[in-house]
Amino acid sequence: MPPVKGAQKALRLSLPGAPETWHYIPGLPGLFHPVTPTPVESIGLADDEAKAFGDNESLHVELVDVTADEAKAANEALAAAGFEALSGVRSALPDRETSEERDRLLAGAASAKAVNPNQED
Amino acid sequence: MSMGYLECRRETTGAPGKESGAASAFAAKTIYLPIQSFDWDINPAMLRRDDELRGANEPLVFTPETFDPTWTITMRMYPDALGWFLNSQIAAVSTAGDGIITDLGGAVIPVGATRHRFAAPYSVGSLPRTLAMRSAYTEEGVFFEHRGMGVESIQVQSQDSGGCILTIGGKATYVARIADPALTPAYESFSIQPFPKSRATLGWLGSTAPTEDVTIQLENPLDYSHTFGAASRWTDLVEYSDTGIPQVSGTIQKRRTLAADYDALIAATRFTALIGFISESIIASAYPYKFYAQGSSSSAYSGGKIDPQTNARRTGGNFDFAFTRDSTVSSTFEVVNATASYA
Repeated sequence: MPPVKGAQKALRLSLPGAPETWHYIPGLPGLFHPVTPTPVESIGLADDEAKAFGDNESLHVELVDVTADEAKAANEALAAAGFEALSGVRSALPDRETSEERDRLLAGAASAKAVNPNQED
Repeated sequence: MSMGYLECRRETTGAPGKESGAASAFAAKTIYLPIQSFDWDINPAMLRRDDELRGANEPLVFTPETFDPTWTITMRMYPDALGWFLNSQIAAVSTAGDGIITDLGGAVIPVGATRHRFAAPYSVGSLPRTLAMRSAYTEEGVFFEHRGMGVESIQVQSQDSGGCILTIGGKATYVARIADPALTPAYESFSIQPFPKSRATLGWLGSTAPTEDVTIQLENPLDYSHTFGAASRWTDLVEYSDTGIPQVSGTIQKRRTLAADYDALIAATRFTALIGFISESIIASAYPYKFYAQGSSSSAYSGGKIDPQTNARRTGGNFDFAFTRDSTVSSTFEVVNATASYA
């Protein structure tokens, strides 16, 4: 495949059969979608770090190239998804009585915050 | 916090995985379930020989003889997982939303959402669908592979807080302790919420009393056998049971006792049932995730009782119901979500 002009690196969720929604992977910053790739720059990753994640078969992400326009659209979708994910955590937290469940929710929140670093807790 | 996970796939060969080998093919979809609990038991049976005449008045040494695994998953009712487990009973009829097709509630399904329908009967042929899972107890460095997992029960239960609950249970052929499969789970973001009771809908018997909660259960009994010549202590054959048929039933909890429910019970009055769960999360074009359980016009109360009469203004009751067949299918489940296919 010829290189995409002005391409940026992005990570796309490769979990087979995943619903077309944003996902998080514990330990990775950011959110990932099976259709809309996540520009690596927007989640604070260098290209070589992203390539290492994409090459790691235990992680359900693959490294792809996106155009500047695709990256812009993805960043807008990602920001909205991060906001929604944090809202979801916020509404879920009061219901969770065990510390384990709270910890799990907060881990998901950390992934979501990677795409919205300026959002308040 | 545990970094453990439960990875799930569907076996597709018609021959379930067993001790002699994993299934040779799996459906494309892999799902990591955000479980609250995965409770499994290999139910070991030991060969004991204390009844033999050996001149010993104490327990004799025993050896393992058979294992008959069972399992139960408890989790919140998430739309993708619900569709996946229903698809473990019978293949979904999946139709992409196009702004024309409708859900069982009559709403038009937009592009971006997919409707998955599952209609009775929930068994085809003699061999049921089976699942395979890998459970990781990461902190303890212990990992298990579960094969030939048949689903005998899918239960949906409403409750005031904490989200509606999905409980799935069944049997399995084999459980092996395995090396670290070195997987990293991926979960839907928290923007996808479980179905809440607060937006549930109910189409039910006319003049029925106010409802507190509903439990719906799809039961599909399975037989697991130890076949002769299998050279295994574990079960190796999975079949639909001949002692029970797949059926959808449940319990509806009434806040007050009204004549209509009591009269319907003693007359086995038929009515059409439509229980809907609507999510607060949106799939596309303001259309939310949905789940419907529809009973034919021959749905009826099959049992139940009024609560004890006490010094109280209100007396509720619990009524069992069943979805039965007349000229149309007894029941249909429908999940509308963002999953394109469960094939």
